[in-house]
Amino acid sequence: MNEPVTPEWLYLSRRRFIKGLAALGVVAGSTPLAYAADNLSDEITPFEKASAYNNFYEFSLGKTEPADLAKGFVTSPWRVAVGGLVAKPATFDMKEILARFPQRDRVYRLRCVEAWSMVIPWRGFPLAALLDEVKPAPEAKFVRFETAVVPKQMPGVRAGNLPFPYVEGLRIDEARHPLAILATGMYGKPLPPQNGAPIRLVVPWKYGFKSIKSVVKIDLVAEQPRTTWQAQNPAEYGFYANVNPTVDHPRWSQASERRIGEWLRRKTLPFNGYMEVASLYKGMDLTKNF
Amino acid sequence: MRRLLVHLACAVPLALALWAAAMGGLSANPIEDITHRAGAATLTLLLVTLAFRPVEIVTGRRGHMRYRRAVGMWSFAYATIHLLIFVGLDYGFDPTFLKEGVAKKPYAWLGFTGWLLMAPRAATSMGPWKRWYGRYQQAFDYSVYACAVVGVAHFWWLVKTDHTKPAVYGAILLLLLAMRTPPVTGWFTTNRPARS
Repeated sequence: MNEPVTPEWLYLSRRRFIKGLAALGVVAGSTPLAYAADNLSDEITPFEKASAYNNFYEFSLGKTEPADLAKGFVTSPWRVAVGGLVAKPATFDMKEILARFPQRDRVYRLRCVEAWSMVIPWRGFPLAALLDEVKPAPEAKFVRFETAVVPKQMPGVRAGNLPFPYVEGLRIDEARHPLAILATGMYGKPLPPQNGAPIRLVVPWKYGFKSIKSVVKIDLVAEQPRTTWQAQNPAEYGFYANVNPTVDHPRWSQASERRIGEWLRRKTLPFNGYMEVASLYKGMDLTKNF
Repeated sequence: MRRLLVHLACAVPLALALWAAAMGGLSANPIEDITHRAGAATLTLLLVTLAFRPVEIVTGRRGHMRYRRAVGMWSFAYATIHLLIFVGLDYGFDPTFLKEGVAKKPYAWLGFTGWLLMAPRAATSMGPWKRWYGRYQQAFDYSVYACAVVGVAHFWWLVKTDHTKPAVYGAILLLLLAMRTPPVTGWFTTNRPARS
């Protein structure tokens, strides 16, 4: 079943649109964006900014460079191998992914660990839907993701900016949370390469580096995977990396953030404002498990 | 005329930033962008200031020293802009955010220390304050070295993973400092090419 696609103008004039609906007495929830998290009153970051300010170390250490360096990055054909502790391992072609999983639009805040943020209308599908396809074994406790490594097309890989492939991970209950999606597009268009084309993870309650880009491999595993930034600097980057204004980065405060396009700083919200995920961490010391 | 050229050269980073701002050439995070630009200009011009004497030692030519003060003052101006952008634009002079944000940024404190080290030297370059420089010249000159070391450390500390740029600044600074040690200075003075 294909859900109606939200037209681009809706993103661009979303605030007015919602205000208009409210004025007409139409309740939010009857809009095509049914998710609670979709009903953000936050202004959408312009596409020109969201696609020109990116951390993508496979291309460059700079933030403005990936847009240029990733131009022409070949994302077709593209396959995602899903395996590990599963009953039905499978390799999905991108075309198959787009056909099999209904793509939906949802607007999320993105909070970078560097204390800047954006609001991005993604297009994608719940990660849980993909996991259901491969049937994880009961002993699968974590999901491990890998980014493509294409030295020929990725200058940052050739330069050895980080130990590649870039690896990220989620606990399986985090991965199954309906807010966790695999995005294939943004602003009603396919993902630009610098934003993680053709398919990336988006976990809006965690710092941006968790939302791994250009995914080629997804494995269900029993042990907590060793993620790239955690391996790089375990004192500064944890496995969970939940947005948390009360747990500072050792070198800077996480209490406030700069929303791209705004002049004044904003207060950072716990779990980036997605309080519905708080129950996943009940009883955990989030200062230790940062 | 030459003095004007020195001033124009020092104004290039400012001109480039203004040009970028006017033409939409700053990054999507313009405050961060201009902060970095001002910081880089500070450190670059500070190293240029410290290069005057070594150049004199190597070439044996005098005369260009009279432009050093101008470069130093520009460096201090960029440092002040850098500081003001950070406190005023980035944190909007907001005491709550500043308390949270700055208190926990060790490299910000280091940067501020650098600025504090620079300020007296800049002040004693002007008007009636000059005589203070005359009296404590050695101490003031050391303060500029200290300030450059602190500046490089400040840059090194804030970088997330790739330390290439701060390492380049650091290497140049080490070279300039080495040039001022008696053995190196002595070697250059005795082996200087004959003046034409």
